[in-house]
Amino acid sequence: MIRTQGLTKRYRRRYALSDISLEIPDGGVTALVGPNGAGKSTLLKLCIGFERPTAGRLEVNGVDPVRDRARAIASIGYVPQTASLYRDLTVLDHLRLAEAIRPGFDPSHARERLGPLGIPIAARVGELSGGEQAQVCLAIALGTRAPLLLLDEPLANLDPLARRDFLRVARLAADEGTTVVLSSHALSEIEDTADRLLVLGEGRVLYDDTVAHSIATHRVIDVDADLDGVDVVARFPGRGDHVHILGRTRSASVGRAPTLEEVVLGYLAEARSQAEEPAA
Amino acid sequence: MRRWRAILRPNRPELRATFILALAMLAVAGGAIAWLHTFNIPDECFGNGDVGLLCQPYQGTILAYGEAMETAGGPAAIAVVVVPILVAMVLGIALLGREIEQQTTNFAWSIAPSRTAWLGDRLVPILLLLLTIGLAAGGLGDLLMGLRIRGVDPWQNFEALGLRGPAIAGAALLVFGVAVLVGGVVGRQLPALLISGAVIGFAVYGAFAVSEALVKADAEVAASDQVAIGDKFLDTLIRTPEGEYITWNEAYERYGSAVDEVSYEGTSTSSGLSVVIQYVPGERYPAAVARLSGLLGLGGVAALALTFLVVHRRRPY
Repeated sequence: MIRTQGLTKRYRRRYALSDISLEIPDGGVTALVGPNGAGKSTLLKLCIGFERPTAGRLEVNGVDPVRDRARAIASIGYVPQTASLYRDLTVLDHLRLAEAIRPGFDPSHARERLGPLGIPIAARVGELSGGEQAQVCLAIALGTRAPLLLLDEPLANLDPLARRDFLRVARLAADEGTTVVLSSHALSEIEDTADRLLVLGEGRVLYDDTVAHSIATHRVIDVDADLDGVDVVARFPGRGDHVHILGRTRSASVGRAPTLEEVVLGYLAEARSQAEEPAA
Repeated sequence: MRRWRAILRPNRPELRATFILALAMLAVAGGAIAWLHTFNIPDECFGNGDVGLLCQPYQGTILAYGEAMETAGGPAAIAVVVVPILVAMVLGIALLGREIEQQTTNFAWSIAPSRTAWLGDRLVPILLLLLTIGLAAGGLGDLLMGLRIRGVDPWQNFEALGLRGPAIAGAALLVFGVAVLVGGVVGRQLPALLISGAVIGFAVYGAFAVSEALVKADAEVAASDQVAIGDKFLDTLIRTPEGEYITWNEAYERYGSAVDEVSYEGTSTSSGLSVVIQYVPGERYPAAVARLSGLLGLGGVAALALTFLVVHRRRPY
C-alpha cells in the first residue's frame, strides 16, 4: 500500500506535487495518469527513494522511504521510464547481477517471464528492441518477488504490440497478487489492464476511483442534450465539430458510457479551466 | 567468486584494460630488470672508490649498462608510475561517473536495497586489485632504483621519493578515490575526468609538500664527506666558531669576505668558519616513504568515505 499525507515535492520554484494525500490500496493495477509534469514520475521516484519529499509524509508498505530506504526498496520492483540497462551486458548478466545485489532475487521467475516472449537470454541488451528491453526490466522487477511493482511510463517508447505484451505481463503479475502501479499516457491501452484510476494534474490528485466505477458513474453527452440531473464535470473537444461534456450521473439513459480516456480528459480539462479562472 | 564476477561484470572492459596494462608494465619493468642483471657487474665498480684492477675488465660493459639503463630502465621507471595511476583513474571514473551518466544507477539502485552495500561490493575487489598493482609497481620501481644507483639499498635512498615503493600504491588509491568521488558528484565522465585531474594535482602537491616538510624536520648537519649517496641533500650551511649553523647570507652579513675563504672540505679556516651539509640520512627513507604513502592513501580513503555519503544522498540520474 502507498499512503501519502500532504506530500509535496518542489524543484526550485516549480511544484511537482503539492500537498497531496492519497492511498493506493494493495492488489490490482492502479493507473497513474496525467499530463507531462503532473507529478506521476515524481511520486514513483519518491516511493523508491530516488527523490526526497519537500514536505509531507509518504509510506510504502508501512515504511518511510526517506528514513528506511533499504526496507522500502526491498518491497518494491521498479521499472523506470527508459530501460536503464547495461547495453554491453547480456540479459543473463543482468539476472546474475540482480541476484548478486538483491537478496531473495529469483532469477528463474524472471526467466519464466522472458521465455514466452522469445527474448534470448544470451543476447546483449544493446541488441534488443526497446520493447524487449522494457520486458527485461519488467522481468527483473518481477524477479525481485516484491509485493509492489512501480512501472514508470514503461509504455512510452513501445510499439502497440510491445505495449500489449508488456501490459499482459503486468496484468498477470497483478492477478498473482502483486500490487501494480502503472504510470502511463497510453490511456486507451491501459483501460483493460487497470483496476483503479488515479489522475494527477497541476501537482495534485484530480480523481481517484476504480475504473469500473468511473465508467459506470460518468456519461459523455452532446452539448445539445438535456443536462437535467447531470453534474457537469467538464467540456472537452471531441472529433470534428463535437464538444463532449463529461458528466457525473447514475442514469444510464443519459448520453453514453465514457472511455477511460474521456474520463481522464474530462478531469484534466476541469482542472485546467479551474487553474485559468483566477487569471481570467 | 561468482557473485563478485556478476557485480563487476559492468566494469569488464576497464578490468580487461587494467590486466593488459598491468601485464605490459610487468613485462617492460621485469624485462628491463632481467636485462640489467645480465650485465653482471660488481656493485663496487659503480662507486667512487679506487677499484682499478677489479673493475678494469668491466669498463666497456659499464658503458653498455648505462645505455641499457637509458633504453629500458627509463621507460620502465615511467611505466611503473603511469600504469597504476592510469588504471586507477579509468576504474574510478567508470565506477560511478559512467553509471550515473548512462543512468544504469536507475537499475542498480532500484534493485539493491542498500546503496552502501552496492558500492562496497564493487569497491573492495577493485581496491584490492589496485593496491596489488600499485605495490607491485612500487616494488619494481625500487628494484629499478637499485639497479640505477648501484650499491645503495633503495630503502636507504631518498632518490625518487614518491615515484616508487608503496607511495605508488598510495597515489593509486588517491587517484581512484578522487575519481570515484568526483564521478559520483558530477555524474558525467568527461567533466569528472577533468575535475579529478585538477583535484588530484592539488592533492598530490599538498601531500608532497607536507611530506617534504616532515622530511626536513628530520634534517641533520655534517661535514660534506660524511654525506653518502642516498642521503637527502637539503642545503649547505656555515658553522660559526660558536657552533651555530647559519645560512651563507647570514654568514656574509656577519663575517664579510672571510666567508670566501671557507673550505668546502669542512675544515675550519683561520676565521673558524666551516661549511656543513644539511641533509636527511638515507636510513630515514622508510619512515619518509611510509608517511608519504600514508598521506596519499589517506586522501584516497577520505575521498571514498565521502563517496559513500554522496551515493547515499544523490539521485541516480
